[in-house]
Formats: sequence, structure tokens, C-alpha cells
Amino acid sequence: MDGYSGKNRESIKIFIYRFLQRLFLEPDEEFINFLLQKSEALKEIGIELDDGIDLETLQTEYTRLFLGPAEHLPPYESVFLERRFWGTPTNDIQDFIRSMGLELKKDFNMPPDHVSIEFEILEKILSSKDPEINAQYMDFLKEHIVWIFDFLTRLIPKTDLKFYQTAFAFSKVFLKAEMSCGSLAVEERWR
Amino acid sequence: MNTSFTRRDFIKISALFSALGSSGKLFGEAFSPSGAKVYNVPGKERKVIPSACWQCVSRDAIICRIEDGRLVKIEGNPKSIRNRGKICSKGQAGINQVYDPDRILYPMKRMGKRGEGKWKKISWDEALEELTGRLAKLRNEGHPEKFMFHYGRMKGSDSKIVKNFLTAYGTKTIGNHTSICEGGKWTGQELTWGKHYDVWDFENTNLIVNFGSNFLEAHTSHIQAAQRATNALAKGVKMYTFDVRLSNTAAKSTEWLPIKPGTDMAVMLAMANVIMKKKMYDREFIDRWTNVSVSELKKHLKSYTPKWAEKISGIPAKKIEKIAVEFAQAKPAVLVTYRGAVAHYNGIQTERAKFMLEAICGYLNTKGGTNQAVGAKWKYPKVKGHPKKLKIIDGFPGTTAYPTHHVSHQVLKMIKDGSYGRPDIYMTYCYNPAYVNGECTENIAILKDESLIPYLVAVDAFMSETTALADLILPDVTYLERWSWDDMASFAMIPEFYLRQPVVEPLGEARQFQDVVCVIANRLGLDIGYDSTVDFIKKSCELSKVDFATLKKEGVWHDSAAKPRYHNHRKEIPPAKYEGDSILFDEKTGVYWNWKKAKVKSAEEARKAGYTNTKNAYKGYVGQRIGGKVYLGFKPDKLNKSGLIEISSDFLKKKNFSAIPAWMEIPEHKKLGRKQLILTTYKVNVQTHSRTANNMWLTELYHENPALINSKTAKKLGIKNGDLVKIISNVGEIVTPTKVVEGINPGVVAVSFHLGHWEYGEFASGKKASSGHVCVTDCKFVWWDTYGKNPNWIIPNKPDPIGGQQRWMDTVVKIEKV
Ligand code: SF4
Repeated sequence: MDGYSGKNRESIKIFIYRFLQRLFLEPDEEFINFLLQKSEALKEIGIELDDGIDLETLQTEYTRLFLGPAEHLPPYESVFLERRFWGTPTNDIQDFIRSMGLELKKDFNMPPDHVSIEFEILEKILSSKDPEINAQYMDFLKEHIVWIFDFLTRLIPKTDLKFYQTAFAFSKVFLKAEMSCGSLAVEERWR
Repeated sequence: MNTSFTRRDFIKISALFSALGSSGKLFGEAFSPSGAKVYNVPGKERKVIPSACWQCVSRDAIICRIEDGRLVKIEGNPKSIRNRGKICSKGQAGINQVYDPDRILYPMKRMGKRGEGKWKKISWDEALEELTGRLAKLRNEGHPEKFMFHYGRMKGSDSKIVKNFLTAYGTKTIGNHTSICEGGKWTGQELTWGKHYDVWDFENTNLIVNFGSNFLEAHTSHIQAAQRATNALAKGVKMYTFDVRLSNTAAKSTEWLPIKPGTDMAVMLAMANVIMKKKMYDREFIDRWTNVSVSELKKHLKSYTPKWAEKISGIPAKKIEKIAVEFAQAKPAVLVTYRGAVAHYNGIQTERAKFMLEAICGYLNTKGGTNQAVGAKWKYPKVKGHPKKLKIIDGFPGTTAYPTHHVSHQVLKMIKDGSYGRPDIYMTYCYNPAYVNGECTENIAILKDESLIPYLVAVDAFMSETTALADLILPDVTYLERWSWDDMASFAMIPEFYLRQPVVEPLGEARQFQDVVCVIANRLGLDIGYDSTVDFIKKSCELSKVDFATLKKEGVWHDSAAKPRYHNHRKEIPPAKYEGDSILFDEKTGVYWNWKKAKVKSAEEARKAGYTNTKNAYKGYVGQRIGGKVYLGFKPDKLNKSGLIEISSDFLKKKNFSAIPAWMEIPEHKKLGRKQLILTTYKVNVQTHSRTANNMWLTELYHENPALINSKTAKKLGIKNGDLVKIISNVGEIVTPTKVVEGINPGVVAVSFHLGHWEYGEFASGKKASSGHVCVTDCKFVWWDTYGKNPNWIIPNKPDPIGGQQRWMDTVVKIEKV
């Protein structure tokens, strides 16, 4: 099996985006079970679980990192770039979702420039059967994913959980690889 | 971890994730197909949604422009007869509230010690289970009154829905915050002309005399008042402003009269003296509509000469005389007061002196004068019950004669004292006692002490200084995500019904608290008669005969055939209304009243006790007999006063205060040392007392509040502009820079409210909730890094002896250079 090119590679990327999309949403029972079941395999790709990790630990850390109310890093492009909810990137993302013939589910009560949504968009671009949509991949990456890279850089030192440290690092490395495939510079642009 | 992906990694990932196959359930999907690709069209259409501002209590009608789900602009609603399309900068900055990433968006439970800042996000279900469990326990034990609800900002339907719930639950231990606003002004009015809120008919007046109100910058009807006063000034109407500080209102006046703190009443008494002496009074009005005679007034006022007032107030006698004459000649004039005049030891008699002065000239309830407020009279579903209360909302017994608007700044002290009971559950709603009352140090200590307050719940959209100390936080929506009907007084003198509706969807898990109480009621098995805020509003619309669809579309509604309601008191009451079994005539006061409405058991009992001595008799007030007729008169509220303007008050006499407003010196000001100054507070045009310092646009405009002192004072104390000083009172000290100015009375130091937060987000305090941003737009240009000083650390919580008004402007301080 050639994991590095062709169709296979695309489907792996789809899986990774699904994983990333889930990683930045609130952890639930299913997610922790998946992590625990696959801890060995995850370790193989550099994602390590903390000893005795459970859902409560994971949820508490997630809240602390992303939801506050004490100092935290809201995972939204417009908060990151413009320090507000519903900034210009939010509308851009919304437009993009529509251009793919999709819409946000009504029960998603946050602005659509959440990092998980952006990962899901990438997943949808790759898994679409519409070549017109597939062709958007690099453009979207260029437009919207660059901020995530810097966001991750700021995020990693904030967490004490090995799981999040390594999973965020994994995300960073993966994105960097993707970007360099498309000859995009992933320097921390805003530093 | 590798720094790049290798072929090997992909193979491993392939092994890991392909094992999952398409077990899509693990991966939450945020999207659903829309059916068609839709491309962005440049120049998107903006949707317009009318709503109502709530950056401050003026609650102006607004329209919001929404571009593809994003609120992009807030403007005044031109269809409103109150604010007539105008709003202030705070109103426009509302966008900063709703999109503030420092907002609280999820229910939170405290983890570490109180105030330690450790939280756990919990679901609404968990939060409500915990809360209703405690509420049910108290109620089952027969102590619903041990649930104290303390609100800061709650008006219109928001208030009715919550109060209905509290009645159904059984508690009347309800705290408000009026005594730290202008409660004393209202008590003064209730003792004198009846139901509170005075509307100044600026556009039809010939002269404005203003004591201590900065209404061109900040006021409970700011935009309504400011635009009308500005129109009057543009027409050439004169305005005299008595203020200890050169506010922007004073600056826009014909003349600023730098008065000594707490002496406004002396000038008013002297003005009245001049008018009586020069026989410039309106005898007919005095005889007919007040409870004093011309000769009584003359006698009472005789010693209050302009010369006497000059010594007390520092305003030259000649000036007082001139303004008094102009006031009497203006026909009509308006006399404005607010906190500058009222938030003192003698504030209530000052307010009464204002009414005396206006009554003498016949300027009350008249075109171009001061009028009883007209607002929308909503009818709405009401819950009846017999709630109980802890006696901790009206201050310590014996300290306040008529706390008709309660004494909120004493609540924490009373909880600490414990003699009058303590709540088991203390819930704050958009209320921040730690910061907004005086004596912050004590407030914090009490709120932190679990033996005094076992369970502290905060309902808030932002991390206020009090919310930071809570055990449970319930995230409320901002006003731009909110449903309410509203009813603010109308300066058009025609009632306006209006609606606040969400202009964007609530963010995160923020929920409107009024919807939450419906859920709590349901969980507790309480029947309140509606199941959501919108349901309540629709039912109110039906009862009030206001079309809900019209309100949604236009935001505002008024009866187009209605005429401005002047001279309300002259309305004749037809005999059918004052004859009948349930109506009694009270000889002593001349009042007709309905004893059944006052909930007296029998006519006999009512007759025996009489109108004045029957609890809540004012609720049955029908009219006032004058000559052979019965008139609506000046309708009482909270106190059983007659339908006349009670310049002489038996209520006050009974409690050993002067029946007719008489000079009261502020005890602390009697003997000031050479180095002592009087601390005064004020507000500016771009911030509110406590709820806007998180708004970037506003904080850019106002983020420093140095202590203002006069150049003479500065010279005497050896202080130069910008020097750091320590301001010391008997409850604490603050260190702050100074600004040496000419526009302030020597002997006064002024520190504004608004700033000096230690929570409330990045711009208010530097304490961020949201962090990590790089800021490529707006916030990139943040050039300031100051947060100002809150003067409340050094202001004691002291009620005035009549109404319980917090005495904001009486504090004696010393200043030392640091
Ligand atoms: S005065 Fe300003 S802040 Fe207050 S309600 Fe009106 S627009 Fe809003």
C-alpha cells in the first residue's frame, strides 16, 4: 500500500480532517472511548494519552483552553484576527459553505469560523465528488488555515495535558506538510 | 514528535483511521446539504431589524443593520416619538457588547475557592438541576424568603416575568439598585407630587435652571432630554447650571454657577424667598393645587434670603436674585435636578424644594414645565400570591424614614450583621454589588464569605467583579439577543409602546434569563401562565391591544390620534367613579379612595383608620376634592399622600423632619479642616456606571479618570498637573493621577465613575478572558493601556435619613501627594 500518493492519500487526509474537526470540539464519551481504544495506534503517530486520562479531565481542560470564562483561546478565526465574534472571516466562511451547496445545521449556535468547521470544510472539499469543489482545496488552505498554524503555536504552551500537547503538535505538523505541498509559506505570519 | 510528515506516518495514520472506516458517528457533522450552491454576491443586502437599546436605562428605540447574520450598525429608530431617530455613542457601541469575546457563553460552576477563577463548564440541565434542587428545598422547608433575588437592570417585561416567578415561588426578598442611582429623588417626589419621574418639556419652555444634572452627557432619559434641550438652546432659551464641576452641560449653559457641594437647597430656598417677596408667585396654583397658603410660604421662607444662601452656597446673592426673577418671569420654566443635587444627606428635601419652587410659579404639569411622566401602560399576565421577605432590603431599622425605593447599598451590611436574617441563596441579576456600591473592600469580603452567603448565583453576560465570586454562573444574553416589551417615559408626552427583539441569534449557550425562569417554574411545578418570554409578550400585546406583528416590524407603536398629556391633574373625575359602596371620602385630606382596592377588610375598618393611616391606601386613590369638584390631582404612589402637591408634608413632620423644605446642613461638611476636600463623582457621555468599560470603541474614548482639582487647591496642596496623589477617606484610600483644572469648585475633588474595574474583560481591567489573538484589524490599533480608578473604594455606604439614597457626594477626603 502506498500511503503517500494518489487516492489513498486523499482518503487518509479526509480521516485526519475528521479527527482534527473532532479534536477541537468538546470531548464526549465517544471521543474518549476512541482515544482509549486506539491509544497504541495514536502513540505510533506521536499522539500520547496522559496516564489515567478520563472524560472529566479532558472536558475540564477543553473548557479551560477554549471556553473560559477565565483566560482562554477562543478557536475562532475572527476572534484570533480581529478580537471579536462575527468579524469579516466569519462571513467569508459562511459564503464558502454556501458556495459548496451546504449550510450550517441550525443547532450549531456559534459563528461558523470555528476551527472545527474550517477543518470540516477541508474534509468536505476533499471528499466531494464535484471536481469544481475539489479544486478549491489549496485556495481555502491558503485563505483560512494559515491562522490556525499560529493559533496552534500559541495554544500548545497553554495546555498541561500531554494528549492536547501532542495532538496539537500533530495538527501543526500535518498542516505544515499540507501547506508545503502547495508551496505555501507557513511562517508564523503575525508574530 | 517529528517536525514533518513522512511516508511512514501516513501509513500509520492509514492503519489507525481506516480501521474506523466510515463510522461517521464519531465525527460530529456541522453541515447539511442546502440543495444548491450559492455564491456570494458583492454588496450584500442588509436586513433591518428594529429593537431597543439597553446600553443605558434610557432604552431608546434603535434599528440594527444585519449583513448575512452579522450585526454591522446600530442607529436610532426614526419612527420613535421619544428618541426620534437619535442615539448616543454608547448605543452605537452595542456591537462591542454582543461580539465581545470576553463574554460568558456557558453555565459555569465554581471549582476552586470563591473568586479563585477556577471554573467547570456544566450543561444547562445540570445547572438548573442544582439550582432548582436548592430552591425546592427552601420552599419545602417553608422558607422561600431565604431566596434573595437582587437585580441591577431589569425593566419592562423582563422585570414582570421575573417578578411573577418570584411571587409564584414565594419570595419578596427582592433587592434592586435604585438607591445607588437616584432613589432619593423619587422618594422626594412621592412625598410631594406623587408618582415619580419628572419629564422636562424643554422644547416648549422659556428657561432652564439646572441643579446638578449633566443631562447633555448622561441621564436616565439622556437622548430624549439632550436633543430637546439642545433644540431649546438653539432657539435662544437660556440655561443656568449649578454644579460643583464644569460638566459639558454646564459648559453649554448660558452660565455655570460653581456651587458648593450639597448646598443646592439653600439656593432654591432663596429663589423661593425672592419670588414670594416680590409677589411673583402664581397664587391661583398655590391655593388650588398645593396644601400650603401664600402666607404660610412667606413666613416659612422669610429668613432664606439670597445673602444667607450666598454664605452657604458660594453663589452671589445678586445672581440668585436675578435667576429667581428670570425664573418667575419665564412662564414657563423648567427646573432640573439629578444626582448632583440629590445624592446628599439633604437630597430629599432638596428635591422637595425644587417642587416647591416650581409649584410657586405654577410650572408643574404644564406645557413647557415639569411634567409627570407618560409611558406605555402595558397590560400583562400577572401571578398572584403571598410572598414572604427577609427584612434586609430597606436598611437598618430606624435609619431611613421612608425607603420607598429600598436601600440596596445596605443589603450586604445587613447580611453581615445577620440580625434580620440571611438568604441561603443570593442571586444577582445584571447586578454588580462588589463594584457599584461604596466600600468595595467590605463588599468583596462579604461576598466571599461562605458563612454569610452560602450560595451565590450570578446571572450575567459578562464577568463582573461580583460574577467572578459566584458559585454558579448562568450566562444571560446581551440586550441585542433579547426579547422584551418596554415602556420608558416619553418626552413627547404621548405613551410609546416598543419592543426589544433579537437582532442576532444568541451566541453559545447564553440564554435569556426570562426564558430560564419559565423553565425553573416548570421544574418546580409552579403555574405562571406562559411558557416563554415571547409567549408572555404576545399575551401582553393581546391584553394591551397592541399588534405584535406591527411592533416586530416597526419596533415602536403609539396611538396616532393621541395628544400630548399636559395638565393631567386637572382631569375631572365623573361622579360615577367616586360614588359607590367601595369608595370613601376622607375629610382630612379631601381624597376619595377605594378601600377595596387598598385591600381593607371592611368599609368600617377603612373609615376608622382613615386614608392616611391605612396601609397601601394610595392604591385605592380615586381623586381629590377641590371646591365642588373632584379632580385626578397629583396621583400618589408608595405613600398615602393627597392629590395635592404637599409642600408641607405630615409624613416628614411625623418623623421629626421639617414639614416644609427647610435648610439641612450636611453634618460631615460642618467643620472641614484646611486640608479636607469633598469628593464628588460624575459621569461622562461615553461610558455607563459599570457596564460599558469592556466596549473597545468607548474605552478608546474614555479610559482615564484622573482626580480633578482646582488650580487654587492644587497650589495650596503643592500638587502639579499629573501628580500622583493618595485620596484618603475614613473607609480607605486610592492612588490616582490628578488633573488640575479651573472648571471645578475649589474645595472639591471629582473622580468619575465608569472605570477602575478589576474584572469585566480586557479593556475594562486588562484581565482578558479571550486571549491569544494577533489582531490584524481594529484591535491592532489599541494605543492605550490605562484602566482608571474606581472611587467606590473610598466612598462609605451611607443612606440619607429620609429615603435611603446613597450619599455619593458627601464624602470628606484628604489628599496627599505620593
Ligand atoms: S442614551 Fe445612548 S446608551 Fe442610553 S439608551 Fe439611548 S442610545 Fe442607548
